[in-house]
Amino acid sequence: MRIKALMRYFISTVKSPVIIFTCIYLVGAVFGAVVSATVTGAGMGVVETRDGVTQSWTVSIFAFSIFMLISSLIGSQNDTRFLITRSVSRKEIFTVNALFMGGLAGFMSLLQIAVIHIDALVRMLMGESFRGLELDIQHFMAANMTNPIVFFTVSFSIMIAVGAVGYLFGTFFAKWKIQTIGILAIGFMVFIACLMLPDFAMNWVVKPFRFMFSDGSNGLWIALKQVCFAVLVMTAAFPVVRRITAAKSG
Amino acid sequence: MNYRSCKALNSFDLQLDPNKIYGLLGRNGAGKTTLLNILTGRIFQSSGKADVFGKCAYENIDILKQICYIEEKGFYASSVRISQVLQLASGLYPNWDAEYAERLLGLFELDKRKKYKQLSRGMESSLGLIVGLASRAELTIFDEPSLGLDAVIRERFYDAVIDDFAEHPRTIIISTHLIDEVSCLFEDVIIIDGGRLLLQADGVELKERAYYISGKEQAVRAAAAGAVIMSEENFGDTLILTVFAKNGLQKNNDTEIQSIPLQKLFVLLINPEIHENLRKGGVI
Repeated sequence: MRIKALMRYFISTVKSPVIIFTCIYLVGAVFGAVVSATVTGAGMGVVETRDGVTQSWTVSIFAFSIFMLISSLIGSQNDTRFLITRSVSRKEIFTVNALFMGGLAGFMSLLQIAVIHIDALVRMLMGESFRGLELDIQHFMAANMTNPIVFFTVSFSIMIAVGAVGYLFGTFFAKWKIQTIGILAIGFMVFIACLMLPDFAMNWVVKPFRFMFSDGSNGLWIALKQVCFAVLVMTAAFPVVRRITAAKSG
Repeated sequence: MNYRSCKALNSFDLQLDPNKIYGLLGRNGAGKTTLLNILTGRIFQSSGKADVFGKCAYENIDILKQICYIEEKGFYASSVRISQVLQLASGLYPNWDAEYAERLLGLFELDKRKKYKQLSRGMESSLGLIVGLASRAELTIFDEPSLGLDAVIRERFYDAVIDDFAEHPRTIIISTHLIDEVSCLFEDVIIIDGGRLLLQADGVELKERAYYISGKEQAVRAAAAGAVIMSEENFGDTLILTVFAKNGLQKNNDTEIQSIPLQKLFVLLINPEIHENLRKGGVI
């Protein structure tokens, strides 16, 4: 009952930013789909998919970056002071944040499926074959990414893992009293600029997370590893959240 | 409770009885908000113990849901509507009275379709009052509840507190600087200064012990025998003494005796010299 009430309130407070971020994501992703379909070869983070196609824009990284940004904002505890004063425990706030991030990750994974279809559609319009979901992140992940359920599960678990890291960043930003939105905006722009460097995405974004991926598995093992990683990171974030809420409310 | 090297609360020992209305008084920075924050589990005390209903409120949902703390500032997200705030409150407080909340909306002239960012300072305070009153929480705390409210709404709030308290007794703490205006609500008064508890006393008794005595000097001093003199002023032949008497005064026909308003008494009590005299005189 309390969690439900908190979720409803929380959603009503973040509805506008989520709509804005979703629009940014869709515009960016559609732009990425066009770029990846029209520009091949060296360029922005070249990725070669399992079927041998190279693309110069990784649609997924854009989604993950946006999600990390949102998670960092959630983690920065903008609403914590309000919630604490409304007889809400830190555990409840943490639970609501985690549930909200879970729901949002599911929503963004669905969006990603849609975007990847847009990418495939662009390619089809360009005279290539329709490639369904087997694009982008599949080359280093499960074998059967053409299956929407597997794709959703894997994409969702990556979102959760990335979101957990973002949440941890956000909590630290709040602890050090750093303006979260400013740092994230600068970081995001630097990140996008870096994507334009050849092989940046592969060497600096994909490889560090590679321990969670396994080619050839059915996707569930990947998802499990990522969710475990997310739980570990969130568990590490909780003590920080407790101290921030105490410090901030003083 | 320490903030770096600053002691916000020190040597503090306070016990609150159930079903009473307490007035928490103190100057800015006296430690009132720190005390309330510790009580509600929002911050951690450096040492000592703070229990509410026999348990520590920190992370204790069973206790937290019995506490409604209405702060000076609302902190609601600017995009939410009043109706959404009330909906949240109904989910958080088990004794929430939705019908009463609706009546209070009318009393405080608030439109529940309005967004929080559209509210004036006074309307924000009114919303806090509605949440605090309709929560019917066992421990309800109002920190500066009348900030920005006009005189009419303030009066309605005081009446609402008295009426609702009569029907649904609970512990209410009101921290305010508008002391005289709210003093009619207080059963007990807690005075804090410099992080220390100066006084906890029955509000009515406190007012019945503090007087102005005016008249001819000899008669005034005779009337004040046994009382502790807090201040004295001369206007020609007339002497005005401000006294604190534990056991009443020797009334005579040559003096005029008046009760001291609580706000004036508060100002006198937080004067270290006067406080020390009262303590030495054994009247507090």
